[in-house]
Amino acid sequence: MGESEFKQIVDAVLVGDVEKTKILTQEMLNKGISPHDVIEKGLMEGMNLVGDKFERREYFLPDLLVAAEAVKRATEVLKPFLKGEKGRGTVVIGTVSGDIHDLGKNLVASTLEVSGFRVVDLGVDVSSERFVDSAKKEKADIVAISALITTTMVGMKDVIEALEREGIRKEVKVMVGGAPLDEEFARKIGADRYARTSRDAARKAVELVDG
Amino acid sequence: MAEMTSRERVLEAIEHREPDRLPVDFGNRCWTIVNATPYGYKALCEYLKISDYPEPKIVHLMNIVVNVDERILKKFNADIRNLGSGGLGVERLPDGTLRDLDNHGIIYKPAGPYFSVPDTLAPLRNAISEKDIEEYPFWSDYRNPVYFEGKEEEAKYLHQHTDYAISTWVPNIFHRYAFIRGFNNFMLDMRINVDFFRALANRILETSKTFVQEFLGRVGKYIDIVCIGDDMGTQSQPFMSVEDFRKYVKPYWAELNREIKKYTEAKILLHCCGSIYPLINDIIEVGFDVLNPIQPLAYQMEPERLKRDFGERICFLGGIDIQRLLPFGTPEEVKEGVRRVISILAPGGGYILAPSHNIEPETPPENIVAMYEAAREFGSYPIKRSRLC
Repeated sequence: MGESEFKQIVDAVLVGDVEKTKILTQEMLNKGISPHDVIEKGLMEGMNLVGDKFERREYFLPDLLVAAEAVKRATEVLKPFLKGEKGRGTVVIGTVSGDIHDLGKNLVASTLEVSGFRVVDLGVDVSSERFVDSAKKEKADIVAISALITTTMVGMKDVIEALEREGIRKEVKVMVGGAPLDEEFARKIGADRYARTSRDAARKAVELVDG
Repeated sequence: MAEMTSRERVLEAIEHREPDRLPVDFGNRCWTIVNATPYGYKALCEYLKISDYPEPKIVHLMNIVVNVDERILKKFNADIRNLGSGGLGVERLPDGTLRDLDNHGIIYKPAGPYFSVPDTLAPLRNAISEKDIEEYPFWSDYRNPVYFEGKEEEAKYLHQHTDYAISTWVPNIFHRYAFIRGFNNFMLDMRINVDFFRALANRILETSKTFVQEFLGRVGKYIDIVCIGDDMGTQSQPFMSVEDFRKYVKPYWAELNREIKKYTEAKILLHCCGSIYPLINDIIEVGFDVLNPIQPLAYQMEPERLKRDFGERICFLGGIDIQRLLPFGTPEEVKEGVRRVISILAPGGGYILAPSHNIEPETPPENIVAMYEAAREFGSYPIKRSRLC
């Protein structure tokens, strides 16, 4: 298997060709390439390049979202091949109470999924109680909370306090992210990690579960 | 120079001639004030010692006041008055969300001081065919007299018995596309559902054209500015590339503007948030005369750059930063900020001063007052031209 085979799927993600990404994924799996290689050397590599282009303003929202869609559909093809393998863990993710901005959260959720996590997406405007209930029910390894606005990000602390109150703070790691946040804020509210980008989130989630 | 009427002042500015003084505005749908704590509309009224203001009329989505007390508008020297259309309002649903009956059944969900329009509740989020679009039960019908009854008389009165420039708003196309279909789908449809995109955009455009025919058909002759609010930018870039914009957005705006021009000689204003610098040439090309809101902290939206590159071809309305200056500056900093923007945008006409969007609840009332005081203090023509970058 030469690098050129990965280049094809990377390019398919890069141009947002949903069908081609799916077909190439299937073909590679049929050839016996490991699903993790398809994810890491193919889909994730493609998303990384898309992210770079977006940051340089060469790409716009449709480009970003269609690439994410291609990866998402390819992940559906991959899922049966990952079955039986021990996943990396479960992430419960949502935007904090009062905040409905979910573009970043959705990207992080897809990225974690293709990185091998089981992702339970609670959507937007998620109350502390729902984070806690879901973390218990899903036996989550990580609770990931997103906020876009300064007035809602303070609510992240409430989620962490609720996890403590319910006695499960020790079992779950907390990761936070979103435009107005930084490392200092994350530390101050007692989160385990701050993630700046979806790529960063995937890397840190792996760190958190690997200990 | 003899004092002009508000209407003359506004129209001179839009024609890129210097009026007697800089026109200003406040209280209109995208440059008014939010009705929320800690400050907001009520604090502004209290600060100005107005206690008997009429019950605030709220546009739900942004929680903004669209009937700002006339005494405040006069105090701030606002030169424009808005003629709203009638409507059916919102329906409260059992789960606490609201359905906007005047905007094709878009669902609003309470979120802090605002309402959100979650993709997960977008009514046409699962639609796949033109049939789904046609069978959707909540298309607003702007032929319903509730939208225009009594409005011709009201418009005529405002035109004949006041000196203000009269504005009105026409329903947008893509803002509602995003809300009916979900924002992610709006972006994705352009790439993977092009036929569906065109069908839905056309369906929404048709409703806007019906509104124009029915509403502007009656009031058009009394209106000075027709406004359309259709956002295309985030803080750091346009939603889409210029190429996509030309393919998927521009033709629809052009068509709507052609329809508007059949019914009125009014100037046409585009409210388009965020960083949209790469789109402005095309915006001018499809016949917009005024661009709002000019958010100076958005990427490439500095007043210097806009005045230098487009100042002779389009008039700007807005420009006074609501993100940092107004909420977090001191009254002195606000005055200095206003002076600076005036010195850049006002020379030669082509500028109407207003906040760069609705004033947020964290903004102390004294800063709002300082903004309009400074507009009067520094807004007398001739205004010395500031060096553009």
